[in-house]
Amino acid sequence: MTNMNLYLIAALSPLFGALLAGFFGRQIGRSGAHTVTILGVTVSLVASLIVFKDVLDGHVFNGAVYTWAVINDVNFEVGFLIDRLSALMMIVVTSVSLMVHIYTIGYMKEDPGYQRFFSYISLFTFAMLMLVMSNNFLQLFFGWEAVGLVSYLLIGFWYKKDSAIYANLKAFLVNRVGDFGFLLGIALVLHYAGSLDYAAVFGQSENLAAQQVELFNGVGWSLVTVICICLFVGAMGKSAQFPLHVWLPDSMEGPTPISALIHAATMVTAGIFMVARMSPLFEYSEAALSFVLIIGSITALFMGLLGLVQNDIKRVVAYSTLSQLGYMTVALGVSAYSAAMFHLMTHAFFKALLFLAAGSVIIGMHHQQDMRYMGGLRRKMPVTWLVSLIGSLALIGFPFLSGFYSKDSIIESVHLSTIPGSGFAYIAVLIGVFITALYSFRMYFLVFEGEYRGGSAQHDQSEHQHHEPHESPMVVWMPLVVLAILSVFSGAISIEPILFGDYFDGVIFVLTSHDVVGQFGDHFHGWLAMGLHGFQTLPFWLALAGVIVAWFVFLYSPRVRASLLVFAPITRLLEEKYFLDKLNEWCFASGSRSLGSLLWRIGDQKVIDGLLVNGSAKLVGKAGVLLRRMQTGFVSHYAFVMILGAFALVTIWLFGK
Amino acid sequence: MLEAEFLAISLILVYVGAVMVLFLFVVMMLDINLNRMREGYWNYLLPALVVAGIFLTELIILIGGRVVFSKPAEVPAAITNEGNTLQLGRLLYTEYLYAFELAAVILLVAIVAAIALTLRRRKDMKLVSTNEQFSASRENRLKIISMPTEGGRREDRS
Amino acid sequence: MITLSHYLVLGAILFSISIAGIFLNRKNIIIILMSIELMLLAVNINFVAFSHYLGDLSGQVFVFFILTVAAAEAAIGLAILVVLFRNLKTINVDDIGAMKG
Repeated sequence: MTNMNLYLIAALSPLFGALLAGFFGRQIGRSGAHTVTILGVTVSLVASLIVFKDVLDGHVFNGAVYTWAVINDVNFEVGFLIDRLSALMMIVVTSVSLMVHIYTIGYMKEDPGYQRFFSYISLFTFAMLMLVMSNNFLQLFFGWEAVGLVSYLLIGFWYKKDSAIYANLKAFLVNRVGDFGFLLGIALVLHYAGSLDYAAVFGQSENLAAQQVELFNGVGWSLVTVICICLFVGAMGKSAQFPLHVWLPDSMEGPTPISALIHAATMVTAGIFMVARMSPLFEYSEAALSFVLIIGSITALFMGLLGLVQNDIKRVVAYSTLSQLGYMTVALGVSAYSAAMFHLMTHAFFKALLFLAAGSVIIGMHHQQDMRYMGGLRRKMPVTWLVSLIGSLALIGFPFLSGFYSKDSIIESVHLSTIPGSGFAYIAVLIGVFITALYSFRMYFLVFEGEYRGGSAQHDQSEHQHHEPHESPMVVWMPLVVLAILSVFSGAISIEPILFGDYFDGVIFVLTSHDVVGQFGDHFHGWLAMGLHGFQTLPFWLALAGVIVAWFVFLYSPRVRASLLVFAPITRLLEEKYFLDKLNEWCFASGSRSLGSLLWRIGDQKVIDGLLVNGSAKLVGKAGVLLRRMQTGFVSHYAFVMILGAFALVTIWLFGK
Repeated sequence: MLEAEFLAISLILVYVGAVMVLFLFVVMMLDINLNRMREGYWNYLLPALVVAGIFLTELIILIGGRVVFSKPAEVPAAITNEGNTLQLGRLLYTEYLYAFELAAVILLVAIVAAIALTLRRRKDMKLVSTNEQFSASRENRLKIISMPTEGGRREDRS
Repeated sequence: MITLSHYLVLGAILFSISIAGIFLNRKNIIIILMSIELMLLAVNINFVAFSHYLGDLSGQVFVFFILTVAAAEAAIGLAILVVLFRNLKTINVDDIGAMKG
């Protein structure tokens, strides 16, 4: 079949699955819904694999599928750009989506909204595919908004729960703030480059680099810097960078499968993907790169710290995601786009694994999510234990696992970079390694080791005392195993071609002065050597230190934890999430509410209703009262007025000549 | 003096003969209390004189300003040779024919309106319309209805 | 010399007399109707004078029509008056206030 058909099949088969499950859910029943959606995503995965092989052979496709409108010589079209970057993303998206679909059969078994859920996750897959396959800014934006919408729908899946509604609204609104910047960036691109097509815009990137734009009177900014920063603001919203990160922890209100799919592997990586795609633009603006770098390092460090004080197992993984997204952003900032994409891929696998494993734990604990009531699950849920251990080790960057290769590449790249901010970034990512190990093994020790604390302190004791945690059904742990295998092997296999080979040639554009990955490549001697060398590097020692501290504090000697009260102010700061939520609520949310209520009381009620609508009616009424006095009903008055009129006419005629 | 004899005669005929007579008839028909009528007559004298006076003054100023006072009466010969009636007739029936017909219609309308407004019928007249008599038919006059029989004493039913 | 202006002044005088008549006669509708007729007559005099002094016969034709209309209007006005009197039993102008807005 022709390539175009293949691309269309890859993109549209999840959509068909979604529509069937969504509209005919009741008719086809639960098993029908999951069958049709899984089928859709599997077809898409197979198509993506074929496309991937095709792309490895060197075929690149950039063309329009459907021209929506042509306005003033600007084409608004639906098109595909299938190159190695998008093929990689397609594989990541479809594979993780398929794992999540299969997992959901077990996880959402008792939920009344079963078909709706499947429909939504298939719809999400479609939207994400449209985003990564697009060849112009318009379709990118469509995919961007669509994934935001589906994320909103899924976070608020249990819509009867108040906290879920607050969370999904928060996600959507914060995303919107990011989208505002994104739209500004797209508008600037359209205005100065005259087209929305990637190829056309990138062809003009040198022109754009030379131009200046005045934002405030007299201050000229480099055009491409402004564009890149605006586009990055969109990425900040979507990929939850500081300060637009506040929605991601709250998005844990949604069911665990979507936390794995959307908020670990795919949607939040859309921002990273977008910046990598826009590398021809970003390379010309060192200021934008530094901005990206600083934001990324702040996120990586400070979000990791927040993971230390969370008691909900999903929240720990959420903050871990935030921190790892920070790492990817840091990689983008130092122009190590390939390293960022590499980490995106490996992170997708092990983070989805960790989320799904957490979900398995939650099922096993009968929907108890608080880690303080867990413990000792190693013996009770062996498969889950093993895959979680693998995932955690991958996360902290244990040598030979996939996370090690991608994370260390990033750290090395940052070390080699010279752009402003790279010093701070290097320190931040190194500390981040320690913190990452600390919180992930805190989670591991609290959940899987030690004594089981679940029997005594739960509020609905009567049901749970005779329900010991047990392993989840196979439909739940099978995807976990697949993802664990990927977490282990995907790094070693792909590091060489992705980073140092020509995988991203022609796709990702790096100026020679920024080419840190190239410099890193000079020291690279193969995955085995890198792995062995990994035991001697600073990050490894930092990670090991983190694991030991976690073991000591959380497992070995709980009394030590009590003495940590000296850190109480810091703990308070972390628990309040740096007071950012309070700031947002106090400043922006209530500010908007006050503005709205002000406008309603004065603008709407007083001015529009009172003055304009009622006022004009009253005016007409008063004029009527006045004019009514003329209608006396007396004929003599009328005659008098007539004569007066004639008189006036004559006077005017007399004196008007 | 203005050599419009036809008009002079027709004006006299119409105004005196028709309009004034009409007024007299109306006055005769209406039972007016004259005394009550005349009260307050002289209250309005001053304003009336003022307004009328100002009006007159203005009109005279107008006239004075526009028309030259001693313009000789240049009378074209054509008018004086033929009779006024003949000339008027010639004009009326050719150029102003449409207006003439319209004037006739207006008079017709006036007649009809005057009668329609004031006509009173005697309410106790039993005038029969022969058209109605002719168009009466069996269906209009007689209608057979079927009704359930009344209950009653047996002896009453024949 | 009797010029055009004299006739025009005559017409003006008649007109203002009828205006005074309208003002004075608050209580008698019939007199008001008569004053209106007088106004029309004043205009007629104007027309005929102009027709004579400009040598154009159209003025007299117009007088013809004004005459017609004046007669029709007088007839209808009196008819209305009669009907009004039947209903209100008075021809006092000040009593006809039923159209008060």
